[in-house]
Amino acid sequence: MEAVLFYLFGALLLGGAIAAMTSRSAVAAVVWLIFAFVNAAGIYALLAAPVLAILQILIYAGAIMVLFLFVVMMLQGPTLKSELKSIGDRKWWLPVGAVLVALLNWMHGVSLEGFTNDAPAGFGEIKGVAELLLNKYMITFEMISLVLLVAIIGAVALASNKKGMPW
Amino acid sequence: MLHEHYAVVLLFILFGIFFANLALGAAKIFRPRSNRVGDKGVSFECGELPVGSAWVRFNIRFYLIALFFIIFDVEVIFIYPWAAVFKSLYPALGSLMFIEMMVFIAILVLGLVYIWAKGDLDWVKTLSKRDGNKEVSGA
Amino acid sequence: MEIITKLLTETFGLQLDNTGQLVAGGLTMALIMALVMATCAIVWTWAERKVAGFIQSRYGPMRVGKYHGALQPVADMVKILGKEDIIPDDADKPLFVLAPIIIFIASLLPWAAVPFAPGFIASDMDLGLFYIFAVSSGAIVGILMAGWASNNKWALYGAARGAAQMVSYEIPLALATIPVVMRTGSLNMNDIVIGQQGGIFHWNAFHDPFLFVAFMIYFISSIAEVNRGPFDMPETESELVAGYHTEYTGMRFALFFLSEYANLFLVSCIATAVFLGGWNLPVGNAVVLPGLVFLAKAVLLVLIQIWIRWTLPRLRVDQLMHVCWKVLIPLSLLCLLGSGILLMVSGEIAA
Repeated sequence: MEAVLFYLFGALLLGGAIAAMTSRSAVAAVVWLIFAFVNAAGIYALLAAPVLAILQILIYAGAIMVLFLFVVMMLQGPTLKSELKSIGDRKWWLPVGAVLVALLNWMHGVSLEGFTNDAPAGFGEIKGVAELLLNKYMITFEMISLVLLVAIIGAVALASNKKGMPW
Repeated sequence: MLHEHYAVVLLFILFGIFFANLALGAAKIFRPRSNRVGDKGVSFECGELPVGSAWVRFNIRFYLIALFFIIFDVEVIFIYPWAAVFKSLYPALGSLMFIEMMVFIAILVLGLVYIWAKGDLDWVKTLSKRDGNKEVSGA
Repeated sequence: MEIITKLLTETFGLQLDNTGQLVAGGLTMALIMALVMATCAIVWTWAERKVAGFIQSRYGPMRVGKYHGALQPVADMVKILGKEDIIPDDADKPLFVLAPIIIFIASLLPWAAVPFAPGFIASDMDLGLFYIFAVSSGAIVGILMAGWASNNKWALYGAARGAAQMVSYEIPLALATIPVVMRTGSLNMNDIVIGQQGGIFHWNAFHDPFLFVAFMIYFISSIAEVNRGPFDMPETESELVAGYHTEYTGMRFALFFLSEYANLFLVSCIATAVFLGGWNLPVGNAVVLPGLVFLAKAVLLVLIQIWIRWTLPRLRVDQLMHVCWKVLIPLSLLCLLGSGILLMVSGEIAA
């Protein structure tokens, strides 16, 4: 049952990602990407990491894709099909993809210390995540907020009014 | 393995797809067949024929709001785990735990103050410095 | 969920293994929740028109059905079933068709974690509250898709406004529930309700001043989140015709409408569970008719929302953003600070 669901989510995830790449309409590509993210969340839930699954939905499918949709909607109207070639017309990504697949295959063979052990109890639950964040990775945790501060300043700088645009 | 609580969510998604299509299918039986005569397929624009394309340039404000949303959403998802263990970890960590989160929030409030002072939270931004008191409004 | 599986196996005598029980119970809960949503649309459209009528010194629907136009929503439903399905020539057809389905699913999913009564919750997950916020954000994607795919000026403006408003108000909405999570020490919806046992002053909303302010912030943001007056900027009928569902007809439009009224009830149910003690009575510890107590509180909140909609004038976009970013978000952060200090000082959690 579990294996069936895993391969189902995996296939849908791959299918969604490929459709996102080959889609000619940018908005359709974003929608396919959301579909892929939802399936990735399904795989996380299968891996007993529900917090990660919900973050995937909340942040990637919910927040970042809304930003993408805004950007794409600004760039492209419904009747305008993109002038750009779709990635399906290009052949350079074939060798790149082959290298990536080979790399993944190689990593599959290497046993990594700490990655093959069983996860401790409650690892993917919210308590486990919070304990790690607040104890072991305290400094990293505070750094995150600095990174977010930089992101805010960056966003304001992007929209700044230097060129006399009417906004 | 997939915990049963999340399996229920999967069932809800499948049922939602089924139910929505059931409703649409039921309507298909009852409704009259669409005869696409005249201007029926034209986009609605208050009875007139549409002028120009529906595609407009959006004000950059929408883009900024979406950016700020992502940043504060990420903040909120970090506060949630902290709040969930506040009660159980407090005896062990003491007020350090509270201070930790307050520093985290304070740095982000600094960001909020920055965009507030820059005027990026005002939907109608007065360009008083450049154009006198001319106001530029959003879409 | 436990109640339903018990009903299926014991009363109806179904012989099921664990997986079978899970699938049967889950699908039955999904069906019940979908019917709850449909009932919402039926009851609230009628209640909305009646309340609006009384507020404006008129009767509202009176003719269909014997008592005060009680069958009006059924007549509306029949009418909608017979409506022609029009997809504009310029629309992006696949996305146009997909958008109402996505919005429907996004408003069905949160119901999985609403605790109506002890044992009557579809998915008693530890991350309940977190899950509700995550899945309900899918509606924003649906709205943007609907607006964009319609290829109509009003729909596009409505969608952009709606998305900007919903993403903004999601932040105070989530921040306002954090003091509750701190006090309960859990995100599980059942635990949150059980933690409020013992009378009205143990309910989160009336426990201390900070939580009361948090409740108010939640209530205001939830009205904005479901795009209702005075925050109905995305579908201002006087300027944007109908907003993002301008081009939709028949059943597709009905799915938008259904989700809208279901969301109205959903946010009230969440407010009931998180702030107003869920199925707990105002006095005493006894659990009496838990489902009815829960529904009574949620219905009261819905009626207040309808009252607000027909009393207050609509806000402007700039006022809308001002309220969210400059009032509600700082205030909810202050609530968080205050209730954290209160929890530590009052000794409610042992140091």
